Amino acid sequence: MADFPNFSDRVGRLFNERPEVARICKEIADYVLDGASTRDLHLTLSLLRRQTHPNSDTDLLIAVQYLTGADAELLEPNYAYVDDSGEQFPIATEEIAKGAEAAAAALGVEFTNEEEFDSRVLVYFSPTAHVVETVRRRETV
Amino acid sequence: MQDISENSFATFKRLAAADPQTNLLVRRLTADTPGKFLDVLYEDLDQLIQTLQERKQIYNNASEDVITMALVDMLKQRQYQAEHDPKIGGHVDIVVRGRNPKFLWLGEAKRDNGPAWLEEGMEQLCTRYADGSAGRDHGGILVYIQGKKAHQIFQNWRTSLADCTQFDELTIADCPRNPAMAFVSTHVHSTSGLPYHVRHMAVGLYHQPLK
Repeated sequence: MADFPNFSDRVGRLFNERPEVARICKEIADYVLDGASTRDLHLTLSLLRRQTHPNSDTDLLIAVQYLTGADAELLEPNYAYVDDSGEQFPIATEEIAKGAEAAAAALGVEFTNEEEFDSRVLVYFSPTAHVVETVRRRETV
Repeated sequence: MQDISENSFATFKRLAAADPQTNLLVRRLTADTPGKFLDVLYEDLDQLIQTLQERKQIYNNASEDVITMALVDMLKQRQYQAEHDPKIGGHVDIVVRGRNPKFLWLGEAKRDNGPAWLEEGMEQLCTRYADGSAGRDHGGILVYIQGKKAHQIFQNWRTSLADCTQFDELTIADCPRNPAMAFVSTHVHSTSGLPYHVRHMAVGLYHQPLK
């Protein structure tokens, strides 16, 4: 983690009262930084759960919360509408923020109710542009 | 159809409905307006103030810097870009940016050393650090109260602020989120000429156990 030299110390200090969260943060960071520039990472919660074996979902969510934050700048959330054939259509965060009906209208898909629409929206996390660029620079040195 | 049930937005929302922390996480991720950013920030701040108060035995005699740094660290854990003492028109105590860096909130933190000291903090926040421009028209004063009876001390500050004449068209209102330990002042900002809103928040840190 040459380009994130203080990451391990930082999460260790920030989460000194929750070492399990610090451990999960470090594991996810290692996984993401190991080839973030070459792999198209779609990190779902269930994948992160399998990857890190957290003691609880709460610990995992606290870690994801930190890693998607402005301080870590490691992951960003993504949303994709999955149609009946399994094809995925990305939805911008701004559209998601406007609510299900507006997001459905932006995609041009039929809207029946919020629960049904939301159940077709996949949430996943991917490395931020900052991480991808950092890893790319590291690999070209 | 591909089974995404474990990772669908609907599942996130169900988790959020059952768990306040996940609720805040989802709201932070989808905060796309300054209003939504502030709404969730103030909910986070209220929870973090509660955490500081639960640790009053640590912070009862602590300096402003120590308490503020603890608060800033906790904000970082919650997705904010938070800094203590960065240079923005001077050295403001707390700067908070959301995932969208356009959303900026400035805070001034003061130990309760009397209304004059708090008034100085209010002046620093409003006339030195904040520019009061659109989208940056909210700030905060955190009052670390290490003496007895925080509510009474905080009410003294509210009364004293109401008499200040240096803040144009100042009005003061209860904060519906926490009327006993927070209030909101609004005045016309001297730089922008727009209304500037300050949420004043009491942090009760008195700790003198009798046994």
